[in-house]
Amino acid sequence: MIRWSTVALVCVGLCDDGYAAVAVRVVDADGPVTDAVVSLHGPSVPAPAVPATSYNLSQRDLRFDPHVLVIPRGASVSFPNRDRVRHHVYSFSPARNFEIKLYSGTPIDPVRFDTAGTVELGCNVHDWMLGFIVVLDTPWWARSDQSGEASLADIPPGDYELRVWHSRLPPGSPGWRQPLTLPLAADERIEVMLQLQPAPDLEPPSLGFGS
Amino acid sequence: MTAPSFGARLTLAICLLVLATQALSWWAVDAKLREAAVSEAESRLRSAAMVAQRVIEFRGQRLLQGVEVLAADYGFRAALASGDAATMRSAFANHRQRIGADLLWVLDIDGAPVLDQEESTPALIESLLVRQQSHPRGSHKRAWRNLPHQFVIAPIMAPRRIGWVVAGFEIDRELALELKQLTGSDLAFRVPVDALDDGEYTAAEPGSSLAAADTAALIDAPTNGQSMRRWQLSGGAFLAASQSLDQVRMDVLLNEDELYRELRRLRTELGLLALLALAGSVLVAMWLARTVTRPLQRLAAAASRIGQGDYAHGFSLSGRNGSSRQDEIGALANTLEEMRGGIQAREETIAHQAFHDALTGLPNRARALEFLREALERGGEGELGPALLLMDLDRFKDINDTLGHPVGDEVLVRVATRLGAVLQTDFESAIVARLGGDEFLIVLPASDAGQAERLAASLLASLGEALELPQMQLMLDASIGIAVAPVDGTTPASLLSRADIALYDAKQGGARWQRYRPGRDAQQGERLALANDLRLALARDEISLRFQPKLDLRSGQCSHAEALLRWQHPRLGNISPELFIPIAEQTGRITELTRWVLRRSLEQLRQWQQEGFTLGVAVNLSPHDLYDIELPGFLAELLEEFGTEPALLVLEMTEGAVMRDANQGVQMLHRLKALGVRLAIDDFGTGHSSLAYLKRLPVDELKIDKSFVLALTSDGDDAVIVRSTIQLGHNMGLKVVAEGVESEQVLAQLRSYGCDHAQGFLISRPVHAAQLRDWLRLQQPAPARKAHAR
Repeated sequence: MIRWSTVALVCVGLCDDGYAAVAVRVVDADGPVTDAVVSLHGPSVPAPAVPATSYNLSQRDLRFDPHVLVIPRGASVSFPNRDRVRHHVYSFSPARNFEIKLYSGTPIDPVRFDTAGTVELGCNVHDWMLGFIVVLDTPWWARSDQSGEASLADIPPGDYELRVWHSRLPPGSPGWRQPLTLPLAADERIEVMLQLQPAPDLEPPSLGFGS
Repeated sequence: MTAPSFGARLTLAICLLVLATQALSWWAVDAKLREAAVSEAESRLRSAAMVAQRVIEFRGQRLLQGVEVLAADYGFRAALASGDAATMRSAFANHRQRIGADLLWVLDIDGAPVLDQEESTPALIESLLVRQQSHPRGSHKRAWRNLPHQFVIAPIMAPRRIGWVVAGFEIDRELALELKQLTGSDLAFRVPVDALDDGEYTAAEPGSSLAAADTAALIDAPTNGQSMRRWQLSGGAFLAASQSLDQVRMDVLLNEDELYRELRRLRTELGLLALLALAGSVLVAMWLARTVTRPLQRLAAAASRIGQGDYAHGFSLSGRNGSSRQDEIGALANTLEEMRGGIQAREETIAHQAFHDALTGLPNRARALEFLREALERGGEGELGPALLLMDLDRFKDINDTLGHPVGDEVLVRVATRLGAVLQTDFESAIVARLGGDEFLIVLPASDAGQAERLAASLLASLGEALELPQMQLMLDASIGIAVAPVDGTTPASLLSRADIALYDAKQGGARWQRYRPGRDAQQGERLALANDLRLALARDEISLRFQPKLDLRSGQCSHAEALLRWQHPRLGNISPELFIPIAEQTGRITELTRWVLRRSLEQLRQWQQEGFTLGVAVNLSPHDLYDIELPGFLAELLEEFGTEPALLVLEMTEGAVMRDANQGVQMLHRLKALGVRLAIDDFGTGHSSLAYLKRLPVDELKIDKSFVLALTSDGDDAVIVRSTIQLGHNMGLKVVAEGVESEQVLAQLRSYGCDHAQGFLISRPVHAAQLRDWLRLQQPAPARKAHAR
């Protein structure tokens, strides 16, 4: 089992208007971690708004683009194929098990994600292709920036669960989770230490034929 | 114990050397071969191990690919993702069959079995997964149920890894046999004790190409180390090298019999070659030894011949081209040959000296006796035996004494030449030898007495001619004694002794040669004893004088007394002068005897004169005395000593004595005559001297031999001889004495012939001086004696 070690919690500011804000800094052994998905969960969290149009997760240059797509629960995602070769996108993740057999162009039906969780995407034709769809049932989430910092604002005070997930966490990992009561002390900041795996090689191998 | 021959030792040494060389090289080559075999075995084992390892790894890759295909199979993954156990199980069996795995496990991301599959061992799985991290696409060799297995692991990606597919394949006999076909070596795969799993399973037969029993034996074999080792298994001895493949031990084995078959074949061939070489070298060694020892043996044989006195055969060792050898042995042979030649030459010289007389070059006594012995042996059965002629020169001692030894030697050489000439002409088979002094021996190999006597005559005739010497002419005379085998003797000694006796007899008898007369040797023996006794006789007073009166027929008075020797031998009694005088002459004692007689006679004469008797004394001289040049001087002193009137002494000698060497004899007679003594020829008539010759002699008397006188009255011839001799003597102015007068008739006859004196038994026997004195008293009245006494 992958063990989690929580290192420190720092500061969450409480805003003047009665809503609280949370600032989280995500690091690993090498320093700040970018693109970690930081989210707050709890019974009092409202369902996120689902847009009418579907999200796009295209395949470009034999990669999934974007690598990590964060969507609200109930949203649909289209998988437009921008490459000249066909792809066979699949997921065996419990959150959403699907496949779109060999196709080109944009499949007719987008895929709707009704269960919160992380969905790993692969292509049965191109094994190196890896993509993630993070299905959140909370509107309060943010991505860490280059300095590893992510902030959430306008959160009503109360009890929550702070979750941090990153694509380089081990397969099947639920992510970093910790209860959090808002507001935090004035200068309290939260620093999350993740144990991440090396970045997977997502570069397509040189195939010898044009792409 | 005799030492082995040089040749044998040489052969042995060479053989041993070759044997040692062979053994050494055999040993060295064998060691090299063995080393090569071992190195070959190591190399084969190494390459077999490498091949086996490659094959196994290749199989692993093949298996891995199969498993990877399975892990990547979308259906399989879908089935796995479905979570439906029945679906999963069926898909599972399908794929397991497809890749031919003995074991197939699907594990989740944590390594836990997804299905309740055949039992997997958590420890095994964990160790496999750990190793998988360092060998991502490797194959892992582990024990499963105590049997060696090859495991491959493929991750299940969806798309990230969600689990593992683990496939296990037994490393079994089938694989081992397959590998054996490839590598030619036996292989065994086994699980070391420390790698065994939990012990729930008992050790089973590992995968092996060996027989079951050998395989089972391998279970307990040590596993540590990688170096080659030797295992004795029931299938034979094996050379084995072991290698670890992960946790499985791979043993590569080579059957030693198979491995060493070639070595054994080589070794056999090598041994045969060594034997051949040994046999060849034995032959060569024997040949070599023979080439060395054969000439040595020949040299030894030649040296042995020389040692036995056979110098006649020269020899040389021929080389290959027929010329004499040039090497050391050739040099030795040449040296030996030179030595042989030298010895031969020296021995011939020595033999010649040993068997020849240095002066005359004639064979010597030894050679002559040898020749005689050979002749005796040859003629042993025939009628004719060898004959011996023993010759000596008359009066040779006088030649030496008077003319000197050089002349004597010259005489001997001339005589030898003449004798040789005679033999060469008529008696080629005979030899003449010089025995010493003036003695020559002639041996006729096969002869009868007649032939021997003819030869004697020829020899003596050859000496008849005068010998022309630088200083003078010399007349030689010689006597010969003859002995003829087998009548006269059958041994060289007896023949020689009897020839000697015959020679003596010839000289005594006045004959020129004389055949041996049977029985003479006994007398001769007696003579020798007497000669010995004679030496002492004078000192022992055994010899005395008798006197026989000589009657003057005119006056009737005794004019002289002849002194006669008597020898009273203590054992033999009275010994006749006729017997011992010759002995005295031969032994050189006659001179001493004569002087003794002269002294005693003159002594007696003086006594008679003192007693008043008037008479002279007559003394006989031996022929030898005529060569006693000191005799006149001695006699003069003696006459002086006794104051004897010389005319009273009459010296008598036979005509033979004078005639033997006329010159010397006459000369001596004159010297004696000069002393004033009277000289008489004794035994006149028996010799051969001529009256004319007699006339030249300064003698005063003739004594007619008694052989004529004894039968004077009965034999007319003798009477004529006696009467004419008396007349002759008177005509030459000599007095004549008749000896042997034993009867009155004879005496009367002599008187009628006018003979001057008579002597004989009729008048008186020889008597002692004392008896004579009595006799004289009867004859001569005292006044007459007184008148003479003075």
